[in-house]
Amino acid sequence: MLNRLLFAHQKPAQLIVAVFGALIGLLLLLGALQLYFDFRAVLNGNSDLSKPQYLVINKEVNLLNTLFGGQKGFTENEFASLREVKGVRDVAPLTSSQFPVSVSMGGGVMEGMPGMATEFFFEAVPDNFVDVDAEDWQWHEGDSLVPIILPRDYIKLYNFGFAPSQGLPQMTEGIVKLARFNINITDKSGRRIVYQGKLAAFSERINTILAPQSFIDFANEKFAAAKKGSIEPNRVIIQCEGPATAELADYFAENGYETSAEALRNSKLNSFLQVLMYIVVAVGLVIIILAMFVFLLYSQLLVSKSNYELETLIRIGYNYKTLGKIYVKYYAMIYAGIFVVCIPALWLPKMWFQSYMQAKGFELPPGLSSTVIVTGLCFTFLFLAVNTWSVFAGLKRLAK
Amino acid sequence: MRIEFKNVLPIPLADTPLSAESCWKKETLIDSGQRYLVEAPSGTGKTTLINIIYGARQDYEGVVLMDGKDIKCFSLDHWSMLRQEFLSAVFQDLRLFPQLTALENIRVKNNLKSTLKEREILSMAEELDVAHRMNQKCGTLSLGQQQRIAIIRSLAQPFRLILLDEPFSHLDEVNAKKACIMIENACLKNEAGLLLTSLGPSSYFNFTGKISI
Repeated sequence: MLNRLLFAHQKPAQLIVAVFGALIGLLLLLGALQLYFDFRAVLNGNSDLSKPQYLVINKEVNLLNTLFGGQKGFTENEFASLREVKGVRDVAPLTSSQFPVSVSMGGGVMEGMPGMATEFFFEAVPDNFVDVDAEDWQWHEGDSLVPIILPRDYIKLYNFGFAPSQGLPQMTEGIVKLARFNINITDKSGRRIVYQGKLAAFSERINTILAPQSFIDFANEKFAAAKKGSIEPNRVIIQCEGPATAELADYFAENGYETSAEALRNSKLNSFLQVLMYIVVAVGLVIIILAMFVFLLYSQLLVSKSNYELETLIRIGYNYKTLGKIYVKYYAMIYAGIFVVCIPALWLPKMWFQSYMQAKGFELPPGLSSTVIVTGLCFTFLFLAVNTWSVFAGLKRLAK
Repeated sequence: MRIEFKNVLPIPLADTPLSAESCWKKETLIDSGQRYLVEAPSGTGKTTLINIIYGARQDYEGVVLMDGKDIKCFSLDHWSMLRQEFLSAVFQDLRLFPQLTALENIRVKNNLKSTLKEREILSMAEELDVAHRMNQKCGTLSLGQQQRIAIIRSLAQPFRLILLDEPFSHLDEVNAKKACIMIENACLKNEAGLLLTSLGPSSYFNFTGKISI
């Protein structure tokens, strides 16, 4: 009976428009958020957004450096300010070997391979920057076996470039890891010291030949010629919190630092996606706000059209709060309905999208992101709060 | 319940000359145990007086005290409590819901305090000769029938004072008498007083007081 009085002048068409507006706005907003999360997961190569990423940077080598010598290294100040950049978790120098070294191999396991030797160099990074099991990556003073990490590209170069042209067999990573080779170091007085080398792993993270930090520190101390002043590191490894951000890319460009373009391409794609997401979210927000206004107008219209009924009910003793609660319950049901429709309307396409991307080899995190659901809930409550306020304000005005 | 008017003057009447015995701008006491007749020509503020007591308008100078408290300070919650349990009214413009049936109109009020049983409502309707109209939309009833519905509705609550704003204006003598007896009985049952406005002298109730405007 009360409902018949309170909703006596309801216009279903207006309600439908308002509901559709809110639904589309919410779908756009939440859909954009969900897509953004999914794409970020794909870009990062895995679904773990918090997994740190590594970048190796160096200063640009230009003609001046070449002509006047003295490639400048990274100073303490530059280290400090790098650490301050948003998204940077840790920064460490790449220590390079300061002594002449060559690697030779032949015979032994590598039967059929020609003996060979080559000039060589090593670099080292702190152990926590290395993606190899700790037990495979140890060197203590006195050990004759030195573990080495090669970039994965090297074995590809050998297998697909060098081996076919020389008529040599291709090798798997497993076989290469069995190989032992000699590391020949010449110390400052010309003496030769030989260590055994062993491949511990192939890495995609750092594009250089790595030996354990402890070995390089020891060897630099012991074998290197007298230091010419303090040696500033030429290359720096950076651990980022996630994929490289646009800020980081800008910072590199400003300071003349170079890194592999691949790592930064993701950051560009990321910031492009971010802009795209902002646009869709903004459109969604505008539609949602418009829908909210339509709802607000609708509820005010409902109250003002039922002016006589409401005023009379209050006149005969009804509390305006009792009447307001009926309206609020009604809107709560509508908004809950919108939210409930929204979730499967996002979830079903997500399921399809996930299997589609899986067929293409991309692993997406399953289901809807909790951020998306929470955002949806927040907006539902915001709608209800705004509407409740408007209904009660209108009724209070009538009651006075 | 004591209602005191202290120097009250409705703002719309500010420029109107007041008669010597007018209750405006004076001290007037309305006691809920009494029966008052407010007799005055139209346009002098009878409905305004009722609306002020009922809390429906506040555009007046002076102070109205209800049991010693300024009614301008009452909250909306307090007013709805008063209108549910202490003050009843038959409005001059009736204030029925045209889209509801006569019975529903009474139920809307009765639901608040469940004062009357369905059977009682029907027997009251029977008494006032509107029982056969109870399931008809109020908007389609004659003014006289609507007035009787409004009277029954005003009795569907407990009250200490009932405000009757020309309640019989559209009723014939016979029905007015019947309604009068019904209100009389309800007042006795509730130990309540009444305040009736009328254009001329009225002999419906045994009035114990008169308020001039």
